[in-house]
Amino acid sequence: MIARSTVFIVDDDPGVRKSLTWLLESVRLQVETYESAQSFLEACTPERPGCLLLDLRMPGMGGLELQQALSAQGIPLPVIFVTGHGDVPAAVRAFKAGAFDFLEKPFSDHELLERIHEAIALDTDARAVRAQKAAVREQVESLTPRQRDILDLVVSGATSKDIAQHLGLSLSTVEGHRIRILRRMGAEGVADLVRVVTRAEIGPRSNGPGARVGPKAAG
Amino acid sequence: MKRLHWISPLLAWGVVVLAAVFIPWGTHLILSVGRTEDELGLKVGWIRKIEEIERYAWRLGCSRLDAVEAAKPGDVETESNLHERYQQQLEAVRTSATSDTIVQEGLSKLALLVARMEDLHARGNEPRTERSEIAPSPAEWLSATNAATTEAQVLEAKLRKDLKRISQALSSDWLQINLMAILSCALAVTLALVLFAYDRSLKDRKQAEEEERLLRAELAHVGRLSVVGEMGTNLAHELNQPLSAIHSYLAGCVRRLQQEGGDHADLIQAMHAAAEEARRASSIIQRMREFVRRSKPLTSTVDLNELVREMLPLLSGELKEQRVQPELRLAKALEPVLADRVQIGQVLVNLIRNSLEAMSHIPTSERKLIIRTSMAADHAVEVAVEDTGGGLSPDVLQNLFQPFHTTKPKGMGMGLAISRTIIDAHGGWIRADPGPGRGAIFHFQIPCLQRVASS
Repeated sequence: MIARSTVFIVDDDPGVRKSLTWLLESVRLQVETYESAQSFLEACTPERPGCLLLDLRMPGMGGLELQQALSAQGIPLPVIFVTGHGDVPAAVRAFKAGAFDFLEKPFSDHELLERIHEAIALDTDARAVRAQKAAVREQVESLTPRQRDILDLVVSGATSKDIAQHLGLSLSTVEGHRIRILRRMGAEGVADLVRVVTRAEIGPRSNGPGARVGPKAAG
Repeated sequence: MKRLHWISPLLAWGVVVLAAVFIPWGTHLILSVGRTEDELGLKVGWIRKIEEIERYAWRLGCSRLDAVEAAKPGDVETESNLHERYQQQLEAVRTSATSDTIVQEGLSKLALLVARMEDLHARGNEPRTERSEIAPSPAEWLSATNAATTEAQVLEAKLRKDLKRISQALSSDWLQINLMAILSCALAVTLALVLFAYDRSLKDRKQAEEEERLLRAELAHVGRLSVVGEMGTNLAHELNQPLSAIHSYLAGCVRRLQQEGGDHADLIQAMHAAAEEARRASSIIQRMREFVRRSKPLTSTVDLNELVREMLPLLSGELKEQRVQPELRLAKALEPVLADRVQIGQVLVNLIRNSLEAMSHIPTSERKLIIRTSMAADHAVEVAVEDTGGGLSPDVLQNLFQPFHTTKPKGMGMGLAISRTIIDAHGGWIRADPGPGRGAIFHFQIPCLQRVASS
């Protein structure tokens, strides 16, 4: 989005923090360092894009715990674990919890920078997708209940005639709603509308009328 | 071991007393023997001379008697020779025995008697004139001769009696001297033997102590090696930190230089930082090497606060792994102790690792490690390592410091046993107590330099 991606470094060792900053700034990455998991947890917000370079072992809260805390708070930063002493169980736990990568010291600068760039790219993509989904969701939210009903039915593959019959409306009314829905959603046609809504993962409302219409393959 | 210490002052006193007794006694005896022998010689001389006087008197008497019986004059020449010799002898005894009244008295009596004989002799030698009738008769001669010789014999007998007494005293003195010589020889030999035995026992003891010290040092060294073996991966982690920092600094420098966009001052600063990290790495290696070095036991003055701070970097990997930030409560004014730096450091490492191990099964938020130093009573420094682990059951507490006693899945169970050996050798004690809430406190005390110096 508009904010620049930041590499957040959390490591208790000041030498490691400073040297990584020096390395990452050489490729013009924006870097922020934190000396403990707690201080990062207090400072971070879900909005800020980038990736997290996390030391596995720190006094107090460790890397794995911070990872759990972040996912519990819904902060979707990709996490690259960095450790001087990588043991397999810790790596397995990290990956299970959704770590982006697990690097063992000493790692090459190429490897690290490559992984950081990949992680930032992933984060950027994920943010774009999330933003798009959010936009679609917002548009869907802005529909009237009637229009929402009709949208659900359209997405589940019902024809206008089926919808009119199902909702007890006239065909022309349904057609009119469809046109307004397409316009509101910025879709070029029914197929486009179905694709956008499906990608945004907006399911039919459980208490909506669409629930009673069997789902069919969408265009 | 220290029982033999009273021997050396005893030996010194023995020598002094022996010298004080034997030297005056011996001197006295030797002087007295000298005097007595002189006296003996003198008296023997007198006896000889008195015998001669007696012989003179006898011969004079006999010769005159013969002459009277033969009615002819005696051998005047021989007689005058005898007379001369008699005078000499008499004079010699008289001058040499001026202080001996018995001899003087005897001599003067004798001299009178001899003078009477000479008077008789003089009378007999006069020409047969009107005095011829008064020429001494044989009976007169006989009685005069007998009187003189008897007196001489009496005097001689007196002197011989003296002589006997003196020679008796002399032999008693000699006896004493011999006795003393034998006694002092025997004492000297005994003294030498005792000294020799004492010296040997000292040497043996020293050797045994030295061997024990070396053995203990060897054991401690093996203990340290095994500790480092157990800490191996964590130490590697500690080394990895500065090494990867150096790598990052240098890689950053290379990239900036390749882009030709690096600020000169920034580059220099980064290189300085890399150099500093290299120094840190080498100091970790240095400290580790010092810890595992096979070193002869070496005592020096040690500041335990400083030692605690020095040992923590060795353990920082383990501390991090257990997510423990040790809390240091170090006494401000801590007296130095006389100790083997590496060995006491080893005890600290053992205790801290023990506490970490004890806390590995409890949630990280509850883990707390307190390292405390303080001055204890009676000039000792106390170090306490307190944890919030599972604590110690009475069963465990009983065998805690026994070798091969372990509650850990890994480890030999030598750590605490070696620690106790080390602390014992430093004249201190080590103990484990239940912690205030949960957990345990391990503490040890070592006497301060001041106490060691004063005892």
